[in-house]
Amino acid sequence: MIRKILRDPPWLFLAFFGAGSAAIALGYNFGTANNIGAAVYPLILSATIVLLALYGMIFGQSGPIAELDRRPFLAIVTAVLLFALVVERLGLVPAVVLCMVAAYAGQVRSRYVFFAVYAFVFGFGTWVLFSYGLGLPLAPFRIP
Amino acid sequence: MENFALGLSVALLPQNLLACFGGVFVGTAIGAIPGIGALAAISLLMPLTFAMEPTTGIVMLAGVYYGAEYGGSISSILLNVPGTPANAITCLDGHPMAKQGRASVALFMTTVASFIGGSIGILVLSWLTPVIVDVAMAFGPAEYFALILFCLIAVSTIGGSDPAKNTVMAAIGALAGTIGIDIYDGTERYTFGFQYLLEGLHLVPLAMGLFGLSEVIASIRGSDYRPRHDVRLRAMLPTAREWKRSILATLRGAGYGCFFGPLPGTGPTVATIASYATERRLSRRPEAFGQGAIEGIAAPESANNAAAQTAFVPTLALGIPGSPTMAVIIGALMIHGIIPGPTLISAEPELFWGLVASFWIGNLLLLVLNIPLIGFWVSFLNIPYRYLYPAIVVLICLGSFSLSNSVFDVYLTLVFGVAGYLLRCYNFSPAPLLIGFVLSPMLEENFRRAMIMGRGEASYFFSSAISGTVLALTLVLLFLMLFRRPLRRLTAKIAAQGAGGSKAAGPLNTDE
Repeated sequence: MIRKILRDPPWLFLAFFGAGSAAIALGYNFGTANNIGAAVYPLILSATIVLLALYGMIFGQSGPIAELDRRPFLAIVTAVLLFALVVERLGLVPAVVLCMVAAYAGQVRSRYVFFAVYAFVFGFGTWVLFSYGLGLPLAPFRIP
Repeated sequence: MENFALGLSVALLPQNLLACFGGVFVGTAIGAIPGIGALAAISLLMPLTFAMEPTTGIVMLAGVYYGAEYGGSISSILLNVPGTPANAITCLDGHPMAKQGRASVALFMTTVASFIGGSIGILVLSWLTPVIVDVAMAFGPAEYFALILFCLIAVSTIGGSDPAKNTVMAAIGALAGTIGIDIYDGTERYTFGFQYLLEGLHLVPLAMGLFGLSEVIASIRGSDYRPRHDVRLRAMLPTAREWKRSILATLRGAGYGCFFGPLPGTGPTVATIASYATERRLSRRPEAFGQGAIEGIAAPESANNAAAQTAFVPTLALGIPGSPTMAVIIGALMIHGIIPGPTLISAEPELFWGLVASFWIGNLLLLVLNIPLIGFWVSFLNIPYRYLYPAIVVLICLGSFSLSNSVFDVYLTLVFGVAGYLLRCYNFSPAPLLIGFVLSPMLEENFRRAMIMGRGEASYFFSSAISGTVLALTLVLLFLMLFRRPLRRLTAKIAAQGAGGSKAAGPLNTDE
């Protein structure tokens, strides 16, 4: 049984997650039976998660688990992080270029110079669309 | 008729017509890209609607939805890669037809069948929604609680491969829906001191992360596809025999779509599978199915579009979504300050009937535009995916950022994107999580209101025939979900032990 649980870690994680959210919910107001407080509903949900996780540990399917595709995964995570870190500091166009180039690294082709030019044109286009079309208050470039 | 005339007057306003056209066009384009389905398309474009009038915004999102459902068939036929899950069945006969050099006929028939199915679906939608509304006017909190719970459990148990995984995802989604200030007593729930979380999680980062980002990550590898077929406008028309074979199949497909569309947990995918199976059974030449039978395209495509339209019945009449896409549409309505439910038709007749009329205009646009545009869509699929997906990532980031001009929403999108991708790796579907998230506030509100009305007695939930029956059905579904597999395992174990016992007993007997 312990081996099965360790082979299927998501269920164990979900059990802890449910227990954690239940522990937090215990700190909220319970109210009364005819005027239920803020604690009851999240507690019911947390208990459901714990019970289903226990059920999953015992009876759950250990189906084929897809392998994490590291390259695209890391590329997209880096791309979004770069966008979030840069957009307010350097402006929209550099954020778009950095984001797109980082995302492009998720595949195997390597025409980076051509792609950077395409990303710059796309970045400028999005600035025109989002600033003028939708009124998003973003500068194309900003000096930190 | 009067209502439809009112709807047409709204739908034909220039801004609504433009939104409908834009939605259908962009939806078809996104639906044609394998891996990026209707849900991701709607999530991606939802922030664009915030600056629009509610009706215009919803008309656009609805156009994106059925445009994507149609667009998915293009990549199914040309590339053998379904654009959306509901289009998977079209690959079976669509791609063999394309291999025989008849891709243009398959695409033409797809367009016509989609239009017929969609139009019948719209008729059913405009007839059935007011009927359900009349019934729903008598619903109290206990009935709503029972229906919402049933919807949640049905979506979790019917829709996916592992009901326990789906149900736990729905519960996590519902828990995520409790984040923020409790509207009854002002308690801050699961905010962890973040001011941004006081108003609760926003639907857009959740949907964009779970479906947009995670789908992009999953679809990068091995996605640099190119069409292998040249589609010419000239050779589009099916033969007279093919027309004959397709007409009844299209009508039956529409029937399946109208039946499965409004049911929670089934939707277009089940409708297409059921219609295909029926056509194969009814056919005089079932061996032709899978080799390029035209009725194998006409029936599922008609079912798909009819279901796409009738899925709006519970969404608009009760405010209860039967699918993740409908959950996002409800979220979009709420963002615009519109509460879907029985009062929608009487309170917002322009919106409801305008939406219905725009559905039909959108379907007509699909027919009129997409036949001449078939060549264009083929060229569109020529663009390598490596140039498309970085642009999609940027649009996801910008869409999240534009919610409140804050990078916090971008970080949230990233968190949900990573979670969505990891969930996929472990075979957990993120779709029930989204439905749980959208339904959670309604479920809690009706639960608490029912407890107040029942003066703290849980038996109040069983006091009316409707809520009692629906809750009993929910319990049966839950029981089947939880105990079917353990019981089957136990039976198999007993049988195996019995067989083992007789084997063990065998040699003993011989020795004796």
